[in-house]
Amino acid sequence: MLCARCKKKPAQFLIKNIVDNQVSEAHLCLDCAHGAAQESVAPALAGLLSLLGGAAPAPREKAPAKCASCGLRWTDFRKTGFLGCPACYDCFAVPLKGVLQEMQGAVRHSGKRPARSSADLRGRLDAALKSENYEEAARLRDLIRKGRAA
Amino acid sequence: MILSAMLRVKMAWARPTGPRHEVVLSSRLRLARNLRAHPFPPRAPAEELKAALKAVFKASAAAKSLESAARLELCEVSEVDREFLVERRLASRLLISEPAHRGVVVGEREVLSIMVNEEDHLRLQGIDSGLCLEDLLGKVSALDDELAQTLDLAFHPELGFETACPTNVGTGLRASALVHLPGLALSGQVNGVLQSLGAAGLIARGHYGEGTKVLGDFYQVSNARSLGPSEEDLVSGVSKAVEELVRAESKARTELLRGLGKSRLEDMVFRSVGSLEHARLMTYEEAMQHLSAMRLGLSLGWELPADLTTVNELTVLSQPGHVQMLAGKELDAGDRDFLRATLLRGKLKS
Repeated sequence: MLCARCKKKPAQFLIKNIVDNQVSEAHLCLDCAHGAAQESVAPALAGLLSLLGGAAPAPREKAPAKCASCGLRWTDFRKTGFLGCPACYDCFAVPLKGVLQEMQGAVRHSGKRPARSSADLRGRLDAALKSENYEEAARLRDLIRKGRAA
Repeated sequence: MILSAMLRVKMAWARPTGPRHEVVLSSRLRLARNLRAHPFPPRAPAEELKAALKAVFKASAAAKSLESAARLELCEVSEVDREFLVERRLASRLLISEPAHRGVVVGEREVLSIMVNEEDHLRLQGIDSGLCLEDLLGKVSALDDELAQTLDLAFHPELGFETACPTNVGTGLRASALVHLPGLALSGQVNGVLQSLGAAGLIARGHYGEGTKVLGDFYQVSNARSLGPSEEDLVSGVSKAVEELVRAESKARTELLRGLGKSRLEDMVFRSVGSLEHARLMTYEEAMQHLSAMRLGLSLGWELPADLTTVNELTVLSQPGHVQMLAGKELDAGDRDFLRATLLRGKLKS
C-alpha cells in the first residue's frame, strides 16, 4: 500500500488522529507520519515514531519473530505503536529496552506495585494447586515471595 | 442512569474552589492499568473486550471509593450521550469512536471515574477543582489498590504496570492541570513559556487533549514520561511547574493593567460581556473566547454580570453535546448556536 499523503513511498504506519471531533485514519510512510505527528502536537507520538523509524537499536538479532502469547510481530508494533498483550513485554524485552531508554530515559520502574493482599494471593495459590494449575501456582508463589521482600 | 440528570449535578472540577483556581481550572490524574489475562484493547477480539468489561464493572461495584457509582456501556447510550461524556471529561474521543464493549464508571460528583477498554483495559481517573494533584494521587491510588484486590493487573517486576503503548508503561500515570493563560497570551509570552516546559519533562497542549484547537487560552500541562520516577515525584514535578506558570500568569495580568493597557483590557472584557449578553447566535469557539475574557476580568476583581462559578459552568454547558442534551435532541449547528446564545443571555441576566 502506498502512503496516503505523498502517494510515492510505501505506507509503514497507521496514524489515527482526532481533530475537531472527527476521528480519521491514514496509512502513511515514515516521513509523512513524522510530519503528521508534529502537526498534531503529539510529542510522545513523534518521539515514538522517530524511535521506531530507525533511531532505535535494531531488534532483529535477538528478538523473537512474534509474541508467543498473542502472535504480535515486532513489525506490527512498529506500524501501530501498540503492543499486543502483557507477555509482549517479555517477548520483545531486548528491543523494547532500547526504545524505552530513548523514549522514557529509564528502563526501571521505581513506583508502586499492585496492592494484592497476601491472604488473597494465598487463597488463589490454594485454588490453583487444587485445580492442578501449576504454572499459575508458581506465578502466585513468586508474587507472595516478592511481596515479603518488598 | 439517565445522563440528562447529570446536567443538574455540578461536577466538582468546575467549581472555583480549589487552590490557585484563578489560573488553574482543574487538575486531572490518571493511572493506566491492564488485566493480565486479556490482550490489550487495540488488539483484543470482541469476546476478550467483553470479558474485560465485565470483570472491571464487577470489581468497581465492590470498590468503596466508587460507592453509588454509575456504570455505562457505551453501546447502550445515544451518540449525543457519548458526546456529553467526552465534554464532561469522562470519556475520550478514542473510547467513543468504537462503542462496542467499551464503558465508563462514574463516581460521586464525577471526581473518580474509570474508562474501560480505551487504549488500556482501565484508565482510572480523578478530576477536581484547582491545583490538587497530590490529593488526586491519593484518591486514584486508593481506588487502584481496591481494584487490585480483585483484578489480576499486568505488572512487570522491572518495568512496572504494563500498558498497550510503551509511552505509558511504569507508573501508567499522567498528571495534568488545565490552566487559563489569557495574560501570557495577550502579552505574547505564552508560546515561549510553554516551550520552556519541555526542558522540565512536561508537555502542553490544547483544551481537550491531542489534536484539538486551543480554545479560550486554556492549556493542558502534563508529564511526558511515565517510567523511572515514582508517582509522587512525577506529580510533584507537574505541580511545581504549574505553580511557576501561575506566578508568570499573575505577573503578566498585573503588567497588562498598567498605563494604556488597562483601557485595552477593559475594552476587550466588556466587549465580550456585551456579546454574551446580547448575541442571538454564538458558536462554541466564540463563546469560549468571550467566557475566557470574562474569567480574566473576574480574576482581576472587576464587577461583571456573572460570578466565576457561573462562568466556569458556562464553559461546560456551551459545548455542543451539552447544548443538545439541554434541547433533548440532536440539533444542527445553526440551531445549536441559537440555543447557546439564548442560554448565555439567560445565565448572565439571572
